Amino acid sequence: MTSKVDWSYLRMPLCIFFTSLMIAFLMIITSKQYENTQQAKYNKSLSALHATLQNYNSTINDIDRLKRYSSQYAEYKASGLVGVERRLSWIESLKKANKVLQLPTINYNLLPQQTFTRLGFKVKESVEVNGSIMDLRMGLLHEGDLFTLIDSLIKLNKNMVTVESCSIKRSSPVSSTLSMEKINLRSNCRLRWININAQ
Amino acid sequence: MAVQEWSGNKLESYIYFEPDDQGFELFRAYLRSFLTESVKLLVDLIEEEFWLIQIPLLRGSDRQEVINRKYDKYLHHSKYRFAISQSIEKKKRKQENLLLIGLMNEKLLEPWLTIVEETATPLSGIISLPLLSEQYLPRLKTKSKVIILVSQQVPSNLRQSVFVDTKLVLSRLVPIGSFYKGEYAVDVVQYIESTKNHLISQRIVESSEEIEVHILTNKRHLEPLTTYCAKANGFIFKLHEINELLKKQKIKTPQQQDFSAGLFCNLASKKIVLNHYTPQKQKKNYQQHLAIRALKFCGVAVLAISFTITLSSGMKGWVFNRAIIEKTKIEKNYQAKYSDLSENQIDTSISSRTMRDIVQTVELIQQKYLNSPQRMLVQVSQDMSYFPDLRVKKLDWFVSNYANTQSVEAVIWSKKVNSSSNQNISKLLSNKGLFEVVVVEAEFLNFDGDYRYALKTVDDLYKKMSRSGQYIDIEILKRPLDIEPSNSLIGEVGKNEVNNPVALLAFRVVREVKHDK
Repeated sequence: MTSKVDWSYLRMPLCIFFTSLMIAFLMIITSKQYENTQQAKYNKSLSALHATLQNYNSTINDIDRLKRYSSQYAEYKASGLVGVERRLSWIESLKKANKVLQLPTINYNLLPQQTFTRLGFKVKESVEVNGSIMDLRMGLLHEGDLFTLIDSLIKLNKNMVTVESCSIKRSSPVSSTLSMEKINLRSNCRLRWININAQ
Repeated sequence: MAVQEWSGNKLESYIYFEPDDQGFELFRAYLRSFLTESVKLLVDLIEEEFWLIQIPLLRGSDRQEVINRKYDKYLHHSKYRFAISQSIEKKKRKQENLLLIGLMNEKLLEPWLTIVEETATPLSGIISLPLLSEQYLPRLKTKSKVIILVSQQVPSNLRQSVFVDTKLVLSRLVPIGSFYKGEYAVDVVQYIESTKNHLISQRIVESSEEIEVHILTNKRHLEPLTTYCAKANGFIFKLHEINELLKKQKIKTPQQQDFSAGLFCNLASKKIVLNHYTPQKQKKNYQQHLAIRALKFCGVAVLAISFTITLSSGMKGWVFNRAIIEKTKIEKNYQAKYSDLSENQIDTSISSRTMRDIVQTVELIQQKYLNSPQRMLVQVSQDMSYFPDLRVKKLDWFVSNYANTQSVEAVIWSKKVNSSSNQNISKLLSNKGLFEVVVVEAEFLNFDGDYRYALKTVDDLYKKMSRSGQYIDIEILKRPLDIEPSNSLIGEVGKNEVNNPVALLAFRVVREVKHDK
């Protein structure tokens, strides 16, 4: 036996139930919206704080780096190691070095600048390392002249020079004795002047 | 009609309504006064019949079919009827002992139920008092097989319920006129004896069997009953004073009780789903009442949950808000510090990072990639100085990435090696690093043609340089006389032999350039 539901009897409780459901829904929606808004603001403020902290730390690191490297950098820049290469200075220093050595002739040949490469040599993206080959052809009284000349070039310029090859050939038969006045040895050397720039 | 309002174990009120028009009207008014409460109707009426029958043990609709047939047979005219399984007998076929109960005089109940329906009072159940009393037995701590429970709910009727193995088998309501005046105890015992005789005639008990009789009585009748019961034979009487029982069960009543109605009403009030007689029609109000309760509960639950969520979200939002304020303060603080630092920062054309990279690159090149021939040439000169006959004619020094580079022309600084054009070179590229290679061409001074001596000198030079440990590779490229079995050897011996023979030597040494870390 079935009996019909007396809706008039249930109307009020149903109304109250649905009203409370609506109120609950509104409360949840409003509170969640408030929470989400506050969370979004929080995330924004957090990222702003991170950005500020990053800037601050970056500045601190900058200052630290400047304190640490600026004097050395200035020295390198003044010597011409960093910046535009100073080929004139190199020639002048070559002349200056030979004033002491008094070698009869030193022929030089400076080739166009090219990228400095070595096996396993890696540089940061911000740095560009180039090298200019200088071929020297000279006559020597003895082999010590060669080393003196190279040392003088490095010291006078405060630049970085690496010697890549040197060939020394006796100009007279082995049986003859070395003269103190004329050229006994002929030498060909390949030097590379290293130059650094910021990219 | 007696109405009791219970709040837990406390009897809040007791009202009696006469079964006349005035009583009905008062009952109607009373019910309307508490529409939201559900009620239970505990019936203790005359003409309530009890039939203990046996049916085959069945389940589901088959069982219901059998029960319906039994209803038609035993309780044909009863609108209010109920069947309850009392036990199962395991004979050849399993049999179910079924107790059929029914109200045979509906007129006693109908007026009251009509009012209940009119007032839309939620009626949760119509409960048979004898059947309910079955659940009261454990509290009386009975031990016998057959028990008669004697109780009185109104002054005019005495209720005797018979239990076998704690299951109700029979109940009788007999009129008694001596409750207030007369030999009450005599009447009660006589009725009990009459019931015993009925049980014997029905073969429910043997005549010799002792029956345990529990009498629920008031204080006034306790003493006469005790005295008179002691004289009766064939019974074990146990008398219970109603108020003592109420006290034991911690049931509070506003005044001393003369009847046991309170005990059973209290028991009935605690049964949530117990119902014996209520037809579907009467249950509608109760179901609606339950629906309202459920809706109220759900509404409150929903509100409570939403309030909790709202509170939680609000708290989180508040915590976020506090954190935002704190973070904003910290940010401002750092912003100020950052501004100060930025103002005082040295202005340079390049970034400090690039500056650091340049300085580090310079340091790296100075440590690893600057070479000079001086050390290697001095070393070779020292090694050769042990052999005064040897004079250097030509010397080639060069730096290479590979130990087995043969000449300065074969040096490859760039990483890209054209595999097709440099197949021979790539074969040689075995030992990687940075190496200084010296190729020396020398001549024996004042050589007199003694090749044996010259070759021995070359071997000695080789050994000397090997032992020095300065080189990773030493290779003799040319000997004064090529006496290796794998090579051809051409010369001239005789009168026309060359007057000034020449002994030439060429060798190649390799040193690995190592840098201090």
